[in-house]
Amino acid sequence: MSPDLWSLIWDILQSKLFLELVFIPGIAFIALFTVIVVWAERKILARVMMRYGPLHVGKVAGILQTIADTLKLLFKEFIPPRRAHKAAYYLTPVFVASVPTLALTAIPFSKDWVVFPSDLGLLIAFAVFALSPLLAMITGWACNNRYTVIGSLRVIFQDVAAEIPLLLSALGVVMLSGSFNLVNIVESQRRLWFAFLQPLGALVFFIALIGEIERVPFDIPTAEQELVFGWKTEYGGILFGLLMFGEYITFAAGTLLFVTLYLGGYLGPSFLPPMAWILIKMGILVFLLILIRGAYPRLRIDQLLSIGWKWLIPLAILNVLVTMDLIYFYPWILGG
Amino acid sequence: MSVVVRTLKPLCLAFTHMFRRVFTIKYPFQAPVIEDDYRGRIQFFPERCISCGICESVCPTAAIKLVEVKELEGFSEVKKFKKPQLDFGRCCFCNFCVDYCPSEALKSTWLVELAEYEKSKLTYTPYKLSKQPERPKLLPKPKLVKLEISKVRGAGHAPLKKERGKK
Amino acid sequence: MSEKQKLEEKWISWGPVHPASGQMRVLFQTDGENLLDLIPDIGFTHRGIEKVCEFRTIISAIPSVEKICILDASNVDLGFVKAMEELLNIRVPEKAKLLRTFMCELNRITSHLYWTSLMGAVAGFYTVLMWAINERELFLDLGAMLSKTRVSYIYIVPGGVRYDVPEGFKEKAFEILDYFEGRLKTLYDMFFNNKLFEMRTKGVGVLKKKDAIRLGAAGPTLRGSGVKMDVRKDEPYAAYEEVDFEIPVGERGDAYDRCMVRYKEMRESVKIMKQVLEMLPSGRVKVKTPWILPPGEAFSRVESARGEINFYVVSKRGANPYRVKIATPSFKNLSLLRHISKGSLVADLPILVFSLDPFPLDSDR
Ligand code: SF4
Ligand code: SF4
Repeated sequence: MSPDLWSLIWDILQSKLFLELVFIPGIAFIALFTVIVVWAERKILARVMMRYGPLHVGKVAGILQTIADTLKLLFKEFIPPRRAHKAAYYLTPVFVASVPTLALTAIPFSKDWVVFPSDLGLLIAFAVFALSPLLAMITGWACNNRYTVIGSLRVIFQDVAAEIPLLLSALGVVMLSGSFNLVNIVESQRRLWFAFLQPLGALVFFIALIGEIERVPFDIPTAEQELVFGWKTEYGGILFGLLMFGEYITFAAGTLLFVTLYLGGYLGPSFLPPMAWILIKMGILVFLLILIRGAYPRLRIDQLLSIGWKWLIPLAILNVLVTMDLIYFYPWILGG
Repeated sequence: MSVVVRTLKPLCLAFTHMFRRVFTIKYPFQAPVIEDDYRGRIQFFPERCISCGICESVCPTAAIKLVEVKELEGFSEVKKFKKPQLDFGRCCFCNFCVDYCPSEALKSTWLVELAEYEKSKLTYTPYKLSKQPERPKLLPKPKLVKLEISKVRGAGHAPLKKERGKK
Repeated sequence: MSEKQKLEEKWISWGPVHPASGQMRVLFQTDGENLLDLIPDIGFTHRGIEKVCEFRTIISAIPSVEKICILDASNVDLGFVKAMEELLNIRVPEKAKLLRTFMCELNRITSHLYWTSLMGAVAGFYTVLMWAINERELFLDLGAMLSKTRVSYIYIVPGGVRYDVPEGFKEKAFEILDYFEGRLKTLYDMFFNNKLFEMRTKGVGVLKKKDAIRLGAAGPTLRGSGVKMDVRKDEPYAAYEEVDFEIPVGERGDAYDRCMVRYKEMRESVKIMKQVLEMLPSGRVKVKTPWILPPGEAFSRVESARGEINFYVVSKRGANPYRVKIATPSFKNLSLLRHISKGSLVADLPILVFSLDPFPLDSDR
């Protein structure tokens, strides 16, 4: 091979984009996050329930349990339903697992560590979130099963009810920072995190986020007590693994977005690198969400809808109005 | 206000319970202490048996059958009398046979790990039934644990100080 | 399309192979999320225990009779034994009566805790599932001290109870009961008083007082609708006359009230068990009983954890009863399902079913 090619490969290996795609927030980060969070979730929930949780695989506290489970899933057979639409059945899990990763491209991990720096970063993240009900819908129809159809209908109801308050409460942040660019949003929190400037917006965003990423108490589309496993009922083997993978990537993207918008993203005292700060904040948030899973039962779809439409949306609008007033009467909070 | 308390209290409880004691017993490696007179495997004392057949007639599941005992099987003194043979695949461990045996020739023991790979092995001949209960070789030797209740850390299983030789 | 296929098109089946249904199924029709109609379908676990009893002596029938509702073994057992004792005309020693009461209340608690765990599970609340099962374990240990086995007690037999109180039982029992009282408060904060659980169950599956009486509800389901009826008070058996306890009742008759009635019953049971332990005299626990049943018939009522359970025994002289008829509470309660499901959603279905606390084995017999 010519030295030119070598140097080209070397350049690529050294380029920031490559690092970003492979490490943070790329493949390594996603895989590691899923492995660790699935393990941590099982372990934390086990402790809440006074159990041990994973114990034997891997010498210490069953740390390799997730990997063992993934291997098991890899070797399992797929059994598609007889009357299923085969192409959609096999393809959607791949998309479910890959689409949410796009949301991670917009998240800044430090001032100049963004895969896809854009002035519309926030909108990109939301656009990616808005795609997930579509995939669930296709899956539900493709499986041709009553449980999956009801489950996918629930996904749509739920995402509409959660997405609107999500966007509206994020609007307050956009008004305060004056930009859709996530880097600018983080930078304008240098004085005070937006969670303190707009507690109401942060609360609405948090609740709507739980609904958006379909976790307890809003894991209604996969309610196994009534719908077996909701729109994922018919999947087995690694296809199921991919669906779960997608769920945890959405989880990662959602928590990162919350940290970026309200908890000052990568900001923090300088003894740790910015990337460490965003990961620490994310870890705390993930812990909180896991704990919530241990502390609440599931709600009903009509209750989620009434929470979404009757409480979250009016509160989010109120938040926007209050923010407007604040900016008009006390322009110094903009930091200008 | 009470709504907020009622919503947030479970979250606090979930958090505090993370630091309580684990209740689970890691079974094949740990095992709870089972009293000696637990209704487990039944042990037979052939020298006491008067071959009356009460155990056979009282057994609700027809697990006991009186069978002819041959010399080869290890009993020397009694030959022509029938002795109970017990099928643990049918037994429901009600212990009526133990209760109603007039000469206390049957006794229940602590052994509950009775699983076998073949169903026929569950039928205990009088000779097999008269042997001391013994934990299957397949299982690792467990650490014995005992239930302990503390107000602060909750209920859990703590290892026994000294192991009993028998188990 | 054949007739059968058409039927299958119309109905969605919840169970019998389903994460939450138990050994029964509910066929339901939906319009989106709304439940239009449902049919509870039981009979998957029919074991013919009424018939089995005809081929068993009074003693050896007990292990089978207990399996009607193994979660609540002693209460079912006591019902059968009571009918037999009425036939045989036996008077039971005082200590045996108290021990029977103790065992029945212990079983009521284990059964209600098992229900709590299932209710938590169907509400998607797995923490409660584990907690309630943990607490149940304590009582199984306590029961094992008395009856030498953990679940299928076979403790109550005609003429008394089988084993006397072992050494150190009283201290252990008080330790466990005191601890459990604290845990019950925690369970209340975590589960029964949880705002989200209340949202999930309040106003769901309303059974009005009038309907509860008309449709023949039983046990906590009946009391949840505000009818103050409990065989333990109305027609006291064992030692229930001597102990002091309350009958909790609900007001609105919805799923939440039924849950709360069961929670309060657990508290009352702890109270009863403590009183019994204080009262325990010394003496015999069993009298000798004849094996041959005289001709005649007997009827017994016992308040089991799921409601009133009735045994009607006819005997025509012999070691075996001629006919045994058993009326179980789960059957009575499951037949209410269609009535209380009016205007509910699909997501309410597990809550509706488990708020009645059915045990399919109990309803099939
Ligand atoms: S074991 Fe007991 S009851 Fe059975 S035959 Fe021997 S003496 Fe009789
Ligand atoms: S324990 Fe009961 S079922 Fe087992 S052999 Fe004895 S009488 Fe029969």
